[in-house]
Amino acid sequence: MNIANIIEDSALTTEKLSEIKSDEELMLAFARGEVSAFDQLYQRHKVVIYRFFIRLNLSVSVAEELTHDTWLKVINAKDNYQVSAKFTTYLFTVARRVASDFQQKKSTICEVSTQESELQQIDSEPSKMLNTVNQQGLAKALKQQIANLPFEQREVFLLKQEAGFSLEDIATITLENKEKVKSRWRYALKKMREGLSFYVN
Amino acid sequence: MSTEQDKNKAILDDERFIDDLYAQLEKERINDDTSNECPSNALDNKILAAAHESVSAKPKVVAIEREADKKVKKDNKPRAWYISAGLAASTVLAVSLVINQSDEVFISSQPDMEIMSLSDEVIVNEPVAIEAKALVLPAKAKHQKASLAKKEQISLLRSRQAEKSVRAASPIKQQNPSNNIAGFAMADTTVMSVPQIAEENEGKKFDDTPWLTTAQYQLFLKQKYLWSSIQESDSAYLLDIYKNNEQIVQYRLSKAAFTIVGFANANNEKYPFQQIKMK
Repeated sequence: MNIANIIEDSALTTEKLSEIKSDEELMLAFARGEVSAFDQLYQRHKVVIYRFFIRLNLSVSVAEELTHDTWLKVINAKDNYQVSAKFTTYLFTVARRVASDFQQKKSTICEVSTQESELQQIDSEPSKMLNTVNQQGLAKALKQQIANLPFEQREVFLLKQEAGFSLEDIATITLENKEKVKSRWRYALKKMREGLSFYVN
Repeated sequence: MSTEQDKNKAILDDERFIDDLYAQLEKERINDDTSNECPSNALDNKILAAAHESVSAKPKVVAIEREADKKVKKDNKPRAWYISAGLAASTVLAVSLVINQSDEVFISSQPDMEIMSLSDEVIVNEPVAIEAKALVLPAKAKHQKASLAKKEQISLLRSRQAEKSVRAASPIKQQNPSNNIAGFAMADTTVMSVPQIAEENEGKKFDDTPWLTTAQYQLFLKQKYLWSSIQESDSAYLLDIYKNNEQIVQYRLSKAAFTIVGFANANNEKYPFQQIKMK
């Protein structure tokens, strides 16, 4: 075994060890000044956050802007970070607040107008809806159906179904009562099922 | 109760339905290009750059803060030290000055009073401080020595001037102290101012010792100083006068001007000035 192999092995071991680190450990390491920890953290969660904004029926540019804002808030608040919950809960709390602020500022603009109009048409004409959805892939149909949900139900649905949070976690993230979250989740599911029932074999 | 169970059942059914859809979606995503929902590289670089910047900026801030803290600490520590040391030093200085001043007043008061009672040709005679002075603090003693030396120089100059004037005017006469205070003082100073007589009496402490003036007598009486007798001649007593245990000065007390009431003449016995009465 030559020196190069030893170095390579040690590098791999370091890499493996760093991979083992939890999100919370990585965040604390980043707060201590280890930039590589943030790199790793970002790679783990960048897609989920970005997709969360996209699924909120925001345009790509707005989703990117809000993703940037979310991560920037995390970076700036690193010194005050304390492990009181899962890092993802913390991250989505920030993301949800960013989205909520944006929603309040531009409640009408943030919605993709074309999709909205399409969905309105679907709602008004169920027969057309079936045809339209059938012509699209499941992914697109899902996106449209999610976009059709009211904002509160939409965020609960996305957090539960796509990000994998429990209803308790979502209550923490949205700063709402658990029962309220459960109710939103129930209504969201009902609407989604109604909109996508034709997809079941 | 049953409605709650129904609700839960409906939720579970809906969840299963959505889960099935998502499972189906996963299969479709393999061949679906639209599933690539990722932030752009530009956004990635922007966010990572911000993270790197925040970390690289942090140590500088910390370093600056630490330097600032050090400066503050550096400034604070000597300040505190200097303040306390300065206060202590100034207090010691003030106390020592007060003590020194009071000592000087005692020493210098005697020639001043003599000057007041004498004519222009008066020679300032310093009272002789005896060995007890050595007990005084070294600094104080040094200061006193310096002032004494200076006054001796002045008295020497004045005595030479007086000698010249006496030689020119008339032969030297030994005058007895009179009842008149001014005359007594004059007689005293005349005797003491002539160096020839001083030379003749060199080694005789009795004759070198200055006469006690009435002003000095009144001052010592007022300040309740003590005295003891060392020698006695036909015309005078040689007295040690104690300001305190450390400071002793010697004076001649004219028998013509003063009487001592109830004088026991015991060695080393100290008496109050009330025992000395003016005639």
